[in-house]
Amino acid sequence: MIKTKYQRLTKRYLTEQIMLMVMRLAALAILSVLAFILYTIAAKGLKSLSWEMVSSLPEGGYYLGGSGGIANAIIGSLLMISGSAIIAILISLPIAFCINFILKKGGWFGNIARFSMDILFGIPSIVYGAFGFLIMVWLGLQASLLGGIIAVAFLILPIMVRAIDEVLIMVPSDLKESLQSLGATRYEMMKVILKSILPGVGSAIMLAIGRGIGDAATVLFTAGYTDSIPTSVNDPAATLPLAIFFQLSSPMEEVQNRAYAAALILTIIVLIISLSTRQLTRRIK
Amino acid sequence: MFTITNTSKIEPTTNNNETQDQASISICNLNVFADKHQILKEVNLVIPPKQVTCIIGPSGCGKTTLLRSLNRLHDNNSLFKVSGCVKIGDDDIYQAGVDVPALRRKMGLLAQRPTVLPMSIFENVAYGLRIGGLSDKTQLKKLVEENLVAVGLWDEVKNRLHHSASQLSIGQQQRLCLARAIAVDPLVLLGDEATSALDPISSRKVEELLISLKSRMSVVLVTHTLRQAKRIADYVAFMYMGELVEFGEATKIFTHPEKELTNDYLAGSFS
Repeated sequence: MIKTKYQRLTKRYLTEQIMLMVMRLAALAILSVLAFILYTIAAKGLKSLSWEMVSSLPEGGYYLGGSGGIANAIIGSLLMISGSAIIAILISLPIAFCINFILKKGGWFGNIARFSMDILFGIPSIVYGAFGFLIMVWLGLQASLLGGIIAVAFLILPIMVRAIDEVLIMVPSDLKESLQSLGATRYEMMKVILKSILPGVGSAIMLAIGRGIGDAATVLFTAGYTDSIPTSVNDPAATLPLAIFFQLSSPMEEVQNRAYAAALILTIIVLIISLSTRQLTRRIK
Repeated sequence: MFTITNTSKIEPTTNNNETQDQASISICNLNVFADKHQILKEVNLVIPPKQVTCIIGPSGCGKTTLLRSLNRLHDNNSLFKVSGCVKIGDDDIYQAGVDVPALRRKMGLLAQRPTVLPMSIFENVAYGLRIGGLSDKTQLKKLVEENLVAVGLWDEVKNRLHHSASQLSIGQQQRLCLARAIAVDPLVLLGDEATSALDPISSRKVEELLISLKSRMSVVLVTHTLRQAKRIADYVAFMYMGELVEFGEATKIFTHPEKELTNDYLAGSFS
């Protein structure tokens, strides 16, 4: 029906216009923040970004403006998040499927499991770092790549479980019941459903990886920091968030700009992982 | 006799009389509670084999709950409690140790909305056969074709069997779901308002298929459309407020119902 001028001025239409404007402003605000962050790290970091920075290890006096690069931190971060993501996927998928398919809907155990994950989700990352550090001291281990991998895996595990859980909750009950009615066991049902929710699982993994790769507090005590590339999981490992932190703490502007270049590298890595995960899950589906 | 074994393997039927026995469903003193609310109250009913039985009644009377009790779909929800017995042949499906996947395989389900599996048209029909242990490709192809022919879908899809099933129209999807359900050769086909999401032409096609299927299996259909029940039912169960009010041959129920409540419902006094 065509709106008359009078109708447009009624309270309902006015409310709709105001709400639409609030939504547009909210979207614009968040996009502006993202654009501002990207602009800042690009404007400050691009002038320091070079092939040398990406491909070489820091030389003596690097953090005082000397030559070299942060290949140690890039490789350290990639190794750490790969290990953590694998551990977290291997644990979170069975947990999420158990909550949704093995435990009965509305049961107390499933509710407790979800509640526990929510609490773990809210624990600050420094607590995971301190907890990991305590365990390592107790076991007599030094800060190492393995320590970092395990601590980051614990950090991203509840994020991954809850994100996959949310995807599984959205699976129509009709699909589950159709599979059950064909005589599918719960495991057979899970296999079919996993295939149908792969893009959602990919997004859940990405969300967790994005959180894990950028976290400095967890790895500060557990992985340590080194100017070399770890040759075993027992060696300490440098990570990009700590490289940014150390360089940004420098009073020298040139070193600070290198921190922004490192932030740019971190952002590009997250972007590449995100896009490739999306492509991969789409292709598998 | 039909036995619910501890494996998901489907035992072949040995003779016709035995199959008919196997397909009869006896429901005795069935009560279903959702939390503290009682949905079904002391339902007693014997659903005859190889007939189309329609369960009718107003919304919220427990039709779907009764249907879902027949293949233990309430097991998925901890809030639901079931008491009483449901026997297929002589075997109580609620007794301890029942192989639930094998039971459900014998009780095919056609849901209200067509739910195709996230795979190709061919795989949708082949899936149930595969998980039942059939791996011979020639045999699979033969059975997929037979069942797609049985639901009148073969000519429409034979050139795109490996396309995604979600590309089919809603009516075609529902017929595909029917082909998938009957491919595993169930003893009983349960339909939960199976045509309510379809257009009249597709709906009529599915109805004709359900009638044709009664030579192979029992059909139990929940419907809120009286005209549909009149068209296809051999037997009718009328439910009201969780209780079975009347059960009998469709012609008798629709022309001379014994209970006043049934008469009022059929006359449209309430719905």
